Amino acid sequence: MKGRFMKKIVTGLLASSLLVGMAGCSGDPGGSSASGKVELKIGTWAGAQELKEFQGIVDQLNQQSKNYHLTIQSIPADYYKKIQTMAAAKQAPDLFWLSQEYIPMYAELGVIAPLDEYIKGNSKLNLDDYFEGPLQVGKVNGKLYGLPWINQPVMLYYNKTLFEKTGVELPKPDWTWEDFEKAAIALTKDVNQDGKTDQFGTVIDGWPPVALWVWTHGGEIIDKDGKVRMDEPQAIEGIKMFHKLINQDKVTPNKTQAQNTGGPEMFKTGKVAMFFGGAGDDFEKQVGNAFEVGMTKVPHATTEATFSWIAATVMSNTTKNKPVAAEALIDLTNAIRKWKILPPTKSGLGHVADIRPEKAYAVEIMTESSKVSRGFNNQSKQNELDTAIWQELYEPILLGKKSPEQAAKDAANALRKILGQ
Amino acid sequence: MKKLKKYEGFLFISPWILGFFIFTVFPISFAFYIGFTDWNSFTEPKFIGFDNYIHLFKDDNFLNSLKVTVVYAIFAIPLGIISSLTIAVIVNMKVKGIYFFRTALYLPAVVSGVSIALLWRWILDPDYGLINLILSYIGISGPNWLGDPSWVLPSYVMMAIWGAGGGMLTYLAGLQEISRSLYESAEIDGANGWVKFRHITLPMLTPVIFYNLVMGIIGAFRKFNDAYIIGGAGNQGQFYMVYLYENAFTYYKMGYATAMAWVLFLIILLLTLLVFKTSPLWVFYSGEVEGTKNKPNR
Repeated sequence: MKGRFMKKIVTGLLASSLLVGMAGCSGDPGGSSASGKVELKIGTWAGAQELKEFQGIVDQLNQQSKNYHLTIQSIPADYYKKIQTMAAAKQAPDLFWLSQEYIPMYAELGVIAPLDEYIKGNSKLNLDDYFEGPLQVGKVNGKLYGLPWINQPVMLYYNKTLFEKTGVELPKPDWTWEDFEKAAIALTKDVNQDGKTDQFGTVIDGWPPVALWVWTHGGEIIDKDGKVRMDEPQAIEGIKMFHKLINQDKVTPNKTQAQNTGGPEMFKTGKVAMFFGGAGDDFEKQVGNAFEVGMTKVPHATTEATFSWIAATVMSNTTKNKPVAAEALIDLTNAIRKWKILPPTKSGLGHVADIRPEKAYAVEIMTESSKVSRGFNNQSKQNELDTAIWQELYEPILLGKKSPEQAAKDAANALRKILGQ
Repeated sequence: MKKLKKYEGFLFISPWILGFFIFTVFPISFAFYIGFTDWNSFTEPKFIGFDNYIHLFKDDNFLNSLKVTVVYAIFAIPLGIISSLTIAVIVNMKVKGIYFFRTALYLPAVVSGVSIALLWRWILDPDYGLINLILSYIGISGPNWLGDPSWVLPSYVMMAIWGAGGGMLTYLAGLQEISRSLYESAEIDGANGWVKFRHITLPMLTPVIFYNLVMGIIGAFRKFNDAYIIGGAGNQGQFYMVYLYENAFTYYKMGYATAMAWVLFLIILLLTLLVFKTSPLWVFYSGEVEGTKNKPNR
């Protein structure tokens, strides 16, 4: 009798624990806490030290605000996969970071909300202070979906010591691609005379994007209206220079070698004289006393431009209190600008020397670059487009398998196919 | 009271039954449906009938990934079986220190796939890689393995063979199961080493080969880890699963990727069935002989 009774109790407990377990699965995003503040989650890919610093910023904002309380949701690995899964389950964080290429897709799918009506009249936000390039990537169909917090224009880093040793004139901000080419050829050498080149002018191995050459020759890959223009004359001019540096001048190590060693590593160890790197890259510190690092603008032909890595904070469409979430988004983005370099705003560049003193020497040139920096004219199928450019143009040129004209034509056709043009 | 008691058992196993329905039956049925939809995983799936399946066969990248995977399977599976078997036969010899070699040859199976992939990327480096270095000693200028489209698949086959030690274990177990008496009676009849291998070892091992063939087919078509990390020039490293993954998680074409998964399932199913169907022709179970064929004669 006792045994049977125990069995019933155990059965009951099992069943109820299952129910409790299931009930625990449904969360309540964007609800209010006991303190009356709106509870908000901010999704970030920051991890480790970066996360600690970010926590400091969030703590300070939480103290200052009467309206919201932010909690960090750190996703240091597989960020986009997790955000995708969370968004599919309508559980996306109220605010989260997105790299530029994801913004149009998230906007068109309705995962993120336009900010325009919520930011209107917020005195803490001055859109005129933003550089045009970074602000542009947050816009989709005329509406603002993301507020950029970082703008990392590609700069031309160079090994001053190596230039002086080889007797080549140092790079200048007004360099054309021909000047760059000449220097790169002079710096590509077989130093130990074993028949193999072991010092290179630059490194092109999938990075930097071919857009750097297309844009600086006045061309476009895809224009603002979404039209493919990669096979137009200006774009082809740029691709020709890209092709020439790789296949005719041979001023870059081969792709496999560069990817195995890593382009930045090759620059840091003095095997590469000029490197296209983000303005915030940590070369000055990492190189230490090994050689002197210099930085200038990316060379140009007809147009000054540089590609920029841009990330923005966006607001989930499922967040419950959009006005408060937008307020938190503005505060947060403003605060990050005093933490990350380069800030996407004109006034923010004033902080660069405080944030990273070793970059103080280049503030002026970084400001100049920020003015001409831009992202892609991102499309909702941006990832597919990037793959097509790699498959039809970049890689075949790296491997010397296509002429610039052919590569441009094939890539343009592939892009049109994806976009249905 | 008695009636209720009948169901008590079900209640006790309910966590597992629920688990089976929630985590197995439901996802499979849902995936079947998703294969017929256009779904970006964010918004509601849109039913489009067979469009995904029709589009697959017009998609150059899909056809390429299928070709890459099939070519890889055609070379890697037989070569893998031959090398695993050879290694097993060698380490089955009674030689001093054989345990060391067994362990060493099995090591590749213990190391994580990701580290192996990273290791091979270095070994295959055209300028600093181990293979091209050794080739240069004998006056051969080695190819740009992963950088040259025509050498990408051979590189993958080579990597697969390097891991043959993992398959060795089952063959070794099979070899040690073979009764000594079979060899002894063959020796009395004057059989030499090759004849013994051909007529005793090989037939007795066919069940193990059969098992490894089936697993090899599944493994080859599901190849992902190293291909995802290493890639390969000219799309030659884009195996079926890599392209499937890209569609699902980079291009957000969940419906299309699911359709690919079903096609892959069908391919593997058909090949496995084919192997099973042909197995009576070449797989030899010693139990059968002792149990049925030989008995009446005794």
